[in-house]
Amino acid sequence: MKPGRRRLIQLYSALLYNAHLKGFISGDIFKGAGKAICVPGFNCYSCPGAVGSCPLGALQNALAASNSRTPTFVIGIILLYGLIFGRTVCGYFCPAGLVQELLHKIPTPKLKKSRITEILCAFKYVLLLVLVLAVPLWYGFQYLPVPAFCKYFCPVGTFEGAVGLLSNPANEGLFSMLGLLFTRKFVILLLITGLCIFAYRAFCRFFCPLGAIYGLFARVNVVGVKLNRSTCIDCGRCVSVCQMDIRHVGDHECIHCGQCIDSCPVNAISFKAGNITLRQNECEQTAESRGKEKKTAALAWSLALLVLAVVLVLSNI
Amino acid sequence: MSKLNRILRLALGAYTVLLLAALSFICVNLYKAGNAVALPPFSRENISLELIRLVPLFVGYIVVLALAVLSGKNEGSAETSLGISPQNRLLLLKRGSGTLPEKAEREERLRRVLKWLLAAALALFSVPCLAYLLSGDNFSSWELEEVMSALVLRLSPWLTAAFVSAAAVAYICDASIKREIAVLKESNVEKVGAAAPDVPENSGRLRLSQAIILVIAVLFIALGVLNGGMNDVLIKAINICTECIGLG
Repeated sequence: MKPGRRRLIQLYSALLYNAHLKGFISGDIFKGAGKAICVPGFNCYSCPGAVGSCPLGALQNALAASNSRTPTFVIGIILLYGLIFGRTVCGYFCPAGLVQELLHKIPTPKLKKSRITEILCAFKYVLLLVLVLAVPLWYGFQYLPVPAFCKYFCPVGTFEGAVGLLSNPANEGLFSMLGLLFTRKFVILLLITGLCIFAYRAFCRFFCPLGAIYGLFARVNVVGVKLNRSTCIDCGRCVSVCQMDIRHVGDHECIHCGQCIDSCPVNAISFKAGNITLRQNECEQTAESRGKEKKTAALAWSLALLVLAVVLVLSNI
Repeated sequence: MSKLNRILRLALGAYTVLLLAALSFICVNLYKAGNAVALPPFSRENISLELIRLVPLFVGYIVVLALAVLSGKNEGSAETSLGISPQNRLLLLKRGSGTLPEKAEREERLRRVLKWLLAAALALFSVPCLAYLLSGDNFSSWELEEVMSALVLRLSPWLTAAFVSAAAVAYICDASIKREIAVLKESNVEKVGAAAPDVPENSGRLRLSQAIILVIAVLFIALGVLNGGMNDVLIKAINICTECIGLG
């Protein structure tokens, strides 16, 4: 899909995850049954508009309660999303990714990828291990829920949740709860915002534990960018145009955005769902395949808009 | 990129840092001021007052941003290449060649030794980290601020050491790779580029892995629904998680 179409999908996802528009006016969060389901991307469930749960927040809370209940539900959902989409979620279905890409458009000098950034990408696994898994589990055994990543680090929660709720006059009472924790998290939010302006998707690359989890499914995910090794001539243009720290197309750092597809001189890269090609190099497309693609896209968009309309109605009545 | 565009981009970069620093400063100052008089440090009024003071800064930022965007638009966009990594370039050169020259073999051996040394170093650095994380005593206090501070203080030196080691080895390896590339080019190897890894596709094994993961995922979800895990997610999500959003 062209960047234009990918941007539309990102906007659609952001709107779908935050369809409780009434919440932005009333200052209250959605309390419907939809919140039992985790959305695939990073979206704080304390955002006034959120209609689903954040997978990372749900995972931490589930691990924190593992003394009383095995956290199979959240793990099962993450396994399912990882299997189907892997890090395609990052490229298409994550509002945090969308915001980072928009921030990166601010025309400042940019930090290019290098060996240092490649090594820094490992830090998100440290955050995953320590703040998402170890701390919530240990305190879970003591019946004290500590969603450590959410509580001490998550900039998405600070932005969507805190700023989203505090900007509404109905939540005046929440101001008295702001203290050291908020100060620290707000400074982290500003730091990461700055990083994202100077480095492409800095949060995704260096800090996002959800991206770290989905990256583990790089070899098995069904939907995403695939490389035809028999056609590939190893010219390296795909790696050179990619702004993520990939070693090769489709590895654990690849967000399957498809920006490499048109750069391949032998059309070895395509965007697939299983064996079905959803997008290939424009030069490879015939008039017939373009027509077929248009029909499929029209059908998919109609279905998507129907789903969005249903969710908007159900979450705002 | 014209000189004007370059200057505007640099100015915007500096301005961005300045604006973010100003916002951080305000936040920290408000907290300190409120804390000093034992009052809630933040309120809509005092935040608004501070932000109003920043309005000229914001306006200036928008002006510089607009100028930078317009100046960049006039130049049009050029396709940017971020460069092929030395490793990928070498991988392709090696595919084009038969037996490697002796100098190239030496560089390969050097990198193998360095990688083993790095693996040993990382294993060494991970021991105290894992020992700390796996010890429940370090997470027995309910004074979470102290626990988290201790966690950061204990792990940071080892993580920094691991990062520095990895970076050092990466740079030495890159220098070695560049030397090997020069050697291979001298031996008239023509093909240059970057590559996908030489991993043969095993679609049977892939399908089996996908099927297993799918079965486990569906089973786990079903179990979660039955044992009340889904209900737990709902209950957590329909209440504002004040901890999660930094409200304490």
